[in-house]
Amino acid sequence: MDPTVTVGIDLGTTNSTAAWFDGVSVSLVRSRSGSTLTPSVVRIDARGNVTVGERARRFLDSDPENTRAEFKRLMGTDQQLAFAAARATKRPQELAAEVLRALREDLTTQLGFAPEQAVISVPALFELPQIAATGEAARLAGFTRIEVIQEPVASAIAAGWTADGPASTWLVYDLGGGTFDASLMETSEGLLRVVGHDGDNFLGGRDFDAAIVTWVLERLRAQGVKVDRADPAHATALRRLRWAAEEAKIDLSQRSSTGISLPALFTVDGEAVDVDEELDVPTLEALVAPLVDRSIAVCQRLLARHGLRPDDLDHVVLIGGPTAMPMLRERVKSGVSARFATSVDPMTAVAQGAALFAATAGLSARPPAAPATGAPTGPRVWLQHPAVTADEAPFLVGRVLDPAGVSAVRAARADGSWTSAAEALDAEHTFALALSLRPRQVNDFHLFAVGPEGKERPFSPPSLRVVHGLSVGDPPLARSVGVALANDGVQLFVERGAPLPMRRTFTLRTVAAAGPNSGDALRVPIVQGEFALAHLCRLVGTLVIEGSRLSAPLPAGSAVEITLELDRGGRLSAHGLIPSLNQTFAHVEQLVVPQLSLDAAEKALAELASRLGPLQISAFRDGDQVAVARLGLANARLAEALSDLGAARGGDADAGEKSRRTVVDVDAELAEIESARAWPDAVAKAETELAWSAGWVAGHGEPTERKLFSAYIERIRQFIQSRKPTELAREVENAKRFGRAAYLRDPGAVAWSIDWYASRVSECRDPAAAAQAARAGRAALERGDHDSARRALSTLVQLAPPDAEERRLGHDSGVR
Amino acid sequence: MSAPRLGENPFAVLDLTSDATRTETERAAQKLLAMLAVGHGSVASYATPLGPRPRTEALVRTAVAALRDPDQRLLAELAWTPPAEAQGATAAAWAPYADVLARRRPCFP
Amino acid sequence: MLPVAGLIPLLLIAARVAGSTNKGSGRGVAASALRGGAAAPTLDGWVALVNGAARFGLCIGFQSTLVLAIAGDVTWIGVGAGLVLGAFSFPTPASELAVRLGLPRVASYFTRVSAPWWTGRDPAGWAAVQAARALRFQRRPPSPGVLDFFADTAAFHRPTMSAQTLLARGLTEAGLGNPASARASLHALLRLKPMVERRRPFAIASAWLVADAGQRADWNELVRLCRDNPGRAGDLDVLGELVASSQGLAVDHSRLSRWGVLRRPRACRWWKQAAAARARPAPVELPPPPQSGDPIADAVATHAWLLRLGPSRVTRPALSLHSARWRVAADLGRATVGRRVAALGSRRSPEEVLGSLADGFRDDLLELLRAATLPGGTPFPEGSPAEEARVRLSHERADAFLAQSLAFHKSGNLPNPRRDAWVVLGQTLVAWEAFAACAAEAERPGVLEEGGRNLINGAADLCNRWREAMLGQLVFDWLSEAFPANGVGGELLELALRNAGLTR
Repeated sequence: MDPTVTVGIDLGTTNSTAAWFDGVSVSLVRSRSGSTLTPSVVRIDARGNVTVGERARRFLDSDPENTRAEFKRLMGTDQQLAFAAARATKRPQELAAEVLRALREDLTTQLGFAPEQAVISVPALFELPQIAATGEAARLAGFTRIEVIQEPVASAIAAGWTADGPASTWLVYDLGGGTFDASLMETSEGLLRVVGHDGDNFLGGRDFDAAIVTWVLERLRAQGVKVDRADPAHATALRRLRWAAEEAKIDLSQRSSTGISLPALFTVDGEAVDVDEELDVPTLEALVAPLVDRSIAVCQRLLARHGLRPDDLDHVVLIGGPTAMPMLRERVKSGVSARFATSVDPMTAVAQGAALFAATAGLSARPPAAPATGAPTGPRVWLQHPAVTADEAPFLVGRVLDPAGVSAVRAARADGSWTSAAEALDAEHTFALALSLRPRQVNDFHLFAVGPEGKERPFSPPSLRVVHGLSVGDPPLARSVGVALANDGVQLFVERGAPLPMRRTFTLRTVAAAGPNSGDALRVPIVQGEFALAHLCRLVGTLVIEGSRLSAPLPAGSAVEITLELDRGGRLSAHGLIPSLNQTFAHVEQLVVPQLSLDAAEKALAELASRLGPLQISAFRDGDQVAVARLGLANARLAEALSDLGAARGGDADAGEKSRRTVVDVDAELAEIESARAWPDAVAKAETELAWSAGWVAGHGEPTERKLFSAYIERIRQFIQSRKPTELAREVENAKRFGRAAYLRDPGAVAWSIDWYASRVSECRDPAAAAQAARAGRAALERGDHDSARRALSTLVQLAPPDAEERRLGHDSGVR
Repeated sequence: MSAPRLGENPFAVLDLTSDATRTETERAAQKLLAMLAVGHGSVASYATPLGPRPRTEALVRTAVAALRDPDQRLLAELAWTPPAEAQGATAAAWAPYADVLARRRPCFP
Repeated sequence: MLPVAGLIPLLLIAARVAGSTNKGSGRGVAASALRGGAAAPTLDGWVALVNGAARFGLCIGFQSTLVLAIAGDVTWIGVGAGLVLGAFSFPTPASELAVRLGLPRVASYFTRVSAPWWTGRDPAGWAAVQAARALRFQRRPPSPGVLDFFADTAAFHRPTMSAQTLLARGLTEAGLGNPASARASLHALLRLKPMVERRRPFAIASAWLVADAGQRADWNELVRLCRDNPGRAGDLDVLGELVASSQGLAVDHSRLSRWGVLRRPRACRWWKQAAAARARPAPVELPPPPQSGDPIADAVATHAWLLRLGPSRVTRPALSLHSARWRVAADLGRATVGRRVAALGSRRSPEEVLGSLADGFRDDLLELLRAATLPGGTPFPEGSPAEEARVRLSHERADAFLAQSLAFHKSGNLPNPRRDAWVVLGQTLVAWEAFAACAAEAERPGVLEEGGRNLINGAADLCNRWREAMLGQLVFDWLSEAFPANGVGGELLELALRNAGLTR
């Protein structure tokens, strides 16, 4: 019997790897040059020939116009990468498809057949458009079906497979070329479960190189040569400098110092400028220390969120090329934990884990077998069973497709040591049979069809294989997904940590009328993020319901049922059903990371800097250490983003992307800090207002009002405890209504209120009428006529200035 | 995190009682997923206190993930109650009149 | 024969004269032409002239044709002409015939030229009703252009909308297959009761709403509508009580004794069929679960019982029992929960876990209360999931009401406000009733104040920009009833009106 072969692919920013698992062990695929790593570089020459990998990488220096690397970070955007000689522009997913195609060819050479299905790894914090782009790339490369797995899950599987121990907690620290992922996992009783994720989509080895480049440029500036990163003329030279920096960085993991020497690299003011710097290990460590600290902070945040201390970790798995740096290992040891898992190869663990995962997902790489001709085989059966499981008695479930003459099914282990009882078929010719596995081994079973007199024949296929090992829990969703509402709120559909696949439906209501003649479209924006305000979350797609496609006018307030569905790899599909029209819409546009123009990004950065300043001052004044630290970090990121913006103007698309993301991240960070700082003020304000209302209700409130008011007080206490600002504000408003009603019953209160409103006459809508009402009120009070005074007060209340307009930040949402 | 809804208690979805062990949970989930994939009729619905509900793959996956998480498992245990016989639908009492009332054309005077 | 036939036109003229002196329609159709006032005479003016002057001639003509036919010179042309003239002479039956044949525009025309005692103060509106009824008899689905036809009809008319036009709007929507907007329009109509003098539009509207509620199996709503019965239709009284008795609700025997049923033989059909299906099973009694030793299991079992009752059978005592058992569980169950927390290695405290359980109950109860129509009243015990659910529901419904009132405020900006503002008003009033049903007394005044302000501003806007005086009047009337009933001061209304530039 041909063993099931499963394939896993690690599509990395700098290097890609493929591995296969035949049920017993995992092997890595070697490229034509014999290396297990294929650089993710694509070159297209003038004739349109595509070169991938090591050969293309050689041209990175000499022919940068036609060679592209590190396009993984741009996946999911609609940026086109231009190839000058071939006069073509390609999208990032098309380049990824070329890399996948090359890997697939290498696999074909080594396996003897072209793999149809595979598991491809993506960073855990990849967003939905990026995951969709990966799927598209795989499809273009010729795979019929792929599953997407998060890289930390794959690396943990690779590390967990070889280990064989009791319940333990793992942290996977994955610092790749472009992205950083930290994942918290738990293995217990043979089940591997992802507890949580965190990371940074824009922190990787590449940023280390960028730090070196900045250092070199600074050294040049100290020598009096100013090289402007924003100048497009220097783009090529900067790229060469970056590659040189990368090589120097790799050198320094083995040597104590190295040189970066590029004669006549830049041309400034007509003069050629040489670059000849000596880089040693301490300097490098000082340069990359802030970046490494950022990664450690992410790990600590992840642990804190799940209530764990670094001592609670049993293993730390380091994945990715940059983790070879000794300084990084030292920092991780001191900041997180010292117990590194050594049985994992940092460069290839992800691909190995992906291949192992493919086995648990049942994704056989073999093309579907052609129907056997020749010798008659037994009755066909369709089987469902786990390929790999930690359960020693899993179920074998199947349906007999040729039920004639088959009344029962029997299974026997190939070594003869166990056999099952004959399990009768049910009315639909299905059966469920419990198997018995030998622990930690490959178990082969033979299946027999039992006829009416007890005659047995083998099925086709006659046997199956189940491996006893590790089970993998479904991967959780990395970031919550929801729909933005018109009032800048978010209707959460799937929260972070929910197991995938998952589908949820909610009914929302439209805020404006739409119809075939109105020409407007109903927009349902889909956002990803943990914030309660929609404008802080990232827009990942919009479900658009064109007015022209509606069969009848849809009044405001009609119900729309929105369904969001995420498959196991986190790919999103959405559709909306309008029950009153009985129409379904599934057109999701803009599943692409949205773009800020560079000028808008610059303006946004300036605005963020201006918000940052006062926050820092007030945090420092209050002695709020945590806020000061966070704001310091945010400030550093803003500075970085500014320099990235400069580089983007010089033609570096990746830096531009990174600066845009920094804008959104820092905005969210500031908003969080502002609301966190605002929280104590909000609580104080709520308590004052509550005290005021309570006093009046106690004095002048009706008994029923008093009882209800005490319930409100209790609820407000709960909201304060659970830190829910919106609910708190709303409950305080409700409570104040009681207070106001009671207040107005007090005769003295009327006088005070009239005075208060009278002092604000100029802000009212109709100042003349307000002034007159104030005069009338005072006169009535002097007369002792309380009723007229109260009436005058009501006039004043009516004329008070209206509330401020709502901020339309809900991404133009049409639903509430 | 709030307790699972009465009709979607993970124990009910997986046809287990509230003292099931981890192995039993995983085994039940694997069996149900396989039977749903194959189209075995007997697992198409599960019993809840509110009557039988259709069982889907997504529900089974959510249920087993919930039972793996200790916090959610605790809530599921507390919120579990054995499914009783579903009581007769209230609409059935008025069924003989339903078609009288359901005439599309109201009697205009 | 001839002398008898000669009396016919005299009788018709006499009927016209009598009809024109009828109180309420005293201004008559001709006067409305004068009131039209503006430079060109309106359609009504023309109709009035044709109506008055030509009717006499048409009657004579019909009579002559009849005579000729009887006298012997029967030709098909003559008979045809006679029929057409007959239709013009007797437009009321002609319009009914057109309704049965499914010809909306024809029915509408004939209604407009009908006698005022039949059409009432608003012949154009009644014409719209007839056209709407005709839609239901059409064989093919009606086209959406029909709705614009009604809008134009109303647009000619000043003052604009009336009960009849609103009814027509609702029936047209129903005929076009939009039950939700039909429901909203007809609900708005039912609230106009004090304004309009005729019962017939209300009878038709309530009949439709009752049939709709029955079709959706919303028995509580059905009973409520039958008990309101603004059209005072006897058959609805009986129907309501029959449904109530089968649902186990209290039966109001005084209504059953209204034998108005017998005076309306066609309506008796419902009653007879309902009574004939006597062999119905009694509604199944569902007692609450007994108390076992485990307080938490008890609370969960009670929760399951409550949900099994479903929205149509849930009562306040049942919810109070649920709250009581929850209180017991929260107090005594902490020890059990603490033990399980330790055993499972969870990191939460027993209070947190019990709180999550309460949240789960609250969500279930919220869904239940949303669908149920409980009589309003005192709140449930503090801190119980039932009370939390009620509070959330009342917040939700307050939001919905305020959002609707805001939509009404802005309804002047709709593409066709005179047609559509009524639907929005209907939705707002329905939203208020939903809120009032679940909110505690003390919660109502603030919300009503805010919503009322929006309603007044909206009505003012419609009055000033679109000259929809009737709408403003209706809003004012509704608010002057609702404000004192809900504890909001009356002077607020006066001030609001003055601010908005409206007068009583």
